[in-house]
Amino acid sequence: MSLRGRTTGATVLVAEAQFLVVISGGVPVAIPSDLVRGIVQPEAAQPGQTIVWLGATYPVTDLADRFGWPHVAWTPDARAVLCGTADRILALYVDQVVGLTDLDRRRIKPLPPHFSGAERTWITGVFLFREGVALVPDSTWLIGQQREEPAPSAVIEPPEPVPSPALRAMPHDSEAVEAEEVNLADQLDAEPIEEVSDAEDAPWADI
Amino acid sequence: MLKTPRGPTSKVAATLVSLVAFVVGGRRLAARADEVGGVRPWSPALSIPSTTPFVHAVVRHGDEVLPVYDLAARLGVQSGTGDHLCLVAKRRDGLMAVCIDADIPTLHTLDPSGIRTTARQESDMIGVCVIGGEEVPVYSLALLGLQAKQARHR
Repeated sequence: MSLRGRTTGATVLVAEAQFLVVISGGVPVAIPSDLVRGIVQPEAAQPGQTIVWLGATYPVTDLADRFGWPHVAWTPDARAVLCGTADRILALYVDQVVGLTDLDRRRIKPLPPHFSGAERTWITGVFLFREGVALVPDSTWLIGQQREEPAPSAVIEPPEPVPSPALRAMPHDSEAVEAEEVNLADQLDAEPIEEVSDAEDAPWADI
Repeated sequence: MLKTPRGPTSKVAATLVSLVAFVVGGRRLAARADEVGGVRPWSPALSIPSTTPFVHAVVRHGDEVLPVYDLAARLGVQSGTGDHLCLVAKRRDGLMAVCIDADIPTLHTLDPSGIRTTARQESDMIGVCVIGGEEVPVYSLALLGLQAKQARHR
């Protein structure tokens, strides 16, 4: 293959990105899929608690809190999206997981110049999604400021946990909840999941 | 050859100003017609976390995404729960959506001297005029909320 051909191929890869679209506070939010390590059903986990998954402890934060949106009543569709980078991990509590979508990065429009405050560092942009618009948060802002352990002020007294059958047999402390893995295929309806060449980098996509 | 007569009458007509009167939260306002980009049905807005005063959402019209300026919040009025319309404002830095009441905006032509400035008016306010016997504040949509934006950059 010529060097010129390799350059062209790399350009195509950079132009496309994959996002996991979730709903938080009624707003579609597109999380870059390279941040996502897993999706779990947070039966008893609440913001301020932690989720243990594959040996790692994820502090739980409600995505609506990150955006300052009002809380939506818990529904069975609620999920915790386990996100991580090389040095930080975080479980984002969302109202619903919509699915994966591949997107040409050129379709992501930056915030209009009318937004002139700190939000310009929080939001990468927006893109047209179904009948509305989806929000693309800045990855660094989304999980970068979160410490590995939840701050004491963020701890919410958890409700009496209702142990699931998967949890009854295993010991756990009151704040750490062993996650129940979710079959991602049941959650995703935006795009059918296809095996991709970089699937090793996204173990949660391996279903 | 037909020619448009150029007389005193047409000179007077050229100096008239066209205003669009609309209602926000029950309060009647006006703006220069050439600063209005259109009036459309209101679409549900998408909330955006924002520290910019009165700009906390975007609204989609077709393939276009417009920032929403919350004029009702700025005026301290409730925009109500019924149907609304979207007034597209031609602000200097780009189009902006303003949620207005469902009352159909009306077009008025008046002499510029009919718009008088007031002692205490904001930088994006042109003045006040009388429409239908009612004193109505006239806003510059080109400057709407811009002062707050510029103040933040200082």
